[in-house]
Amino acid sequence: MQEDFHYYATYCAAFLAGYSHEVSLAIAYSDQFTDCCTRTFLEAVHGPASAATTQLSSELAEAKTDILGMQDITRIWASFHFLPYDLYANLKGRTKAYMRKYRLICAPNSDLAEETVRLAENGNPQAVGVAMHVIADTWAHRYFAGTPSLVINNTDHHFYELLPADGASSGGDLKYREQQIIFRHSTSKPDDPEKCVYTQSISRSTENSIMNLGHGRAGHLPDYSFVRYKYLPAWGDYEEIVKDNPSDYYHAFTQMLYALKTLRSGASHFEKDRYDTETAAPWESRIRSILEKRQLSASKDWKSFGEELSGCEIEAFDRNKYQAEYMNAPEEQKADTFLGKYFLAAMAQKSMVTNRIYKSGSMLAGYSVEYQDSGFRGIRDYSMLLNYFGKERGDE
Amino acid sequence: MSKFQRINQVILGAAMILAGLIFFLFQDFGYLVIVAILALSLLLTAVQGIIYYINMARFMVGGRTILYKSIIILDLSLVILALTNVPRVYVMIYMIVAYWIAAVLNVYRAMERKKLGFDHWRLKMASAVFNVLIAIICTIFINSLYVCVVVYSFGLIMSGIGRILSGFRKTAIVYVQ
Repeated sequence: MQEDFHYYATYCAAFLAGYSHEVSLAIAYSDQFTDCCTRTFLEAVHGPASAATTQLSSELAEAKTDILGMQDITRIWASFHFLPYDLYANLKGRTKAYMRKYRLICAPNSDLAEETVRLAENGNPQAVGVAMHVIADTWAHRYFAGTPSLVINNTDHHFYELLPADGASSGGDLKYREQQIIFRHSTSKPDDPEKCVYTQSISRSTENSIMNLGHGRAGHLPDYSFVRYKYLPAWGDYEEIVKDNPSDYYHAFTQMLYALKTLRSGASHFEKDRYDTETAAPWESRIRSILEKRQLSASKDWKSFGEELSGCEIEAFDRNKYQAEYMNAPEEQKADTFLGKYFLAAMAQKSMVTNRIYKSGSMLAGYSVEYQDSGFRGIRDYSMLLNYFGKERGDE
Repeated sequence: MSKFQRINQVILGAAMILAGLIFFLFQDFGYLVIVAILALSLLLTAVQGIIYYINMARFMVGGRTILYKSIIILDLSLVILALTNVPRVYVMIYMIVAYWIAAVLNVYRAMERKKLGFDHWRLKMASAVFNVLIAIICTIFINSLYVCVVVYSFGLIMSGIGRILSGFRKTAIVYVQ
């Protein structure tokens, strides 16, 4: 997903869930910031390196694919953009090495999704924003894994866009015609939906190549709300998958709506596979029309929808909006700044997901130490979480 | 990282530094070993490819191409190993390409940092200039055994230091409930 959904659509969902304009904006900002909080940014603001929630393409280009490099990449991408669906999945006849990768495949409505939203129950807009990013991406990025893997994330030439057949609809069901997608590797040229020409990452037959991370081999197709396509996923045993983004994105929106309402009221816990279609119902056709419109960015449409809902102007997303506040704050007050709170929420999410992957018997995201059992042993940045969760510092 | 992985990193790092020093001190012998390493690494790639196919790629759509590629590389590596005298220019070309790739990556990284408005881009650009200088030196002295061994040894020693440092890094993620 991109800024259109992570920022503007999240704002709309938050406002519909009952948050004020200001809080909705803070939630939407934190959601979108999850696509900006790179180690390069953290270096520049002198923030904790462990709070990185994404990587620049240049960071990925120079990332090592040794054990540590792979674990770092997996922690970031699996925690924030490709939340694993079933860490204990089993397939007959597959090797352990294969299954470790297979279990990181992302899909919505996982146990980890429930835990992700529960981490935001402290009500901080920053934590809520992080959770909304993760939830929304489980819909867009389903069927891909947040770790470099040829055997999971690769795609081949069998890739077709499903376009509505000329004015056809029978019995309420739309009919589609197939058009083969042409992939190219030029990042300087924008995708061309009119000609079904899209950019994808270069084909590399090395298992751990960065080119095989996430949905790189399917280009930006999972990030466009309008597109429907079918393809053969590398892990799918030659069975076609049909991806209906407009439907998935609507599910994402209504699930966010339900999650946001739950978090706001604090009366109950978030449960997977629940959607607030009732609140969205009066605007369903408007939302669906935005989702279906063939455009590379729907920001303008979501923005005007959000502004109609709240009657307030939604300012453009500015990555550096809170940078000065954080950098100018005294050391002991940094955790109370907007970015300080965001960094804590990000590290809480990363440490939770890493812990779950580690406990499932996989070292793909690294080694996790449970504070409750072993005290504080590990990367120093995470000591900030002790205050966040109201714990006393133990041994080191 | 587990304790075993840490020990592995340190031992491998120390071995790389030692090898770098030996190549540097005994250059004729060092050159032969470098050629052998490059040929063996091709063989290793082929064997790894076959193991990868058995372990993982056979479950993947189109995975059989991995097996075919590995068999072709295996054949190539055996042919190269059978040659007794590999011209040193090939080794130098390998290093020139490697340093140019490193330089391009560093320039890309520096440009992206600059575009984002961060001050830290100069260090990356300096690394890129350093990589280019080494690549140029290799190009000028493409037939020099001395330069070939010195550059390879330098790269090996730097990688070894990097591995040892990473072996001592704190890597555990703390989970606080």
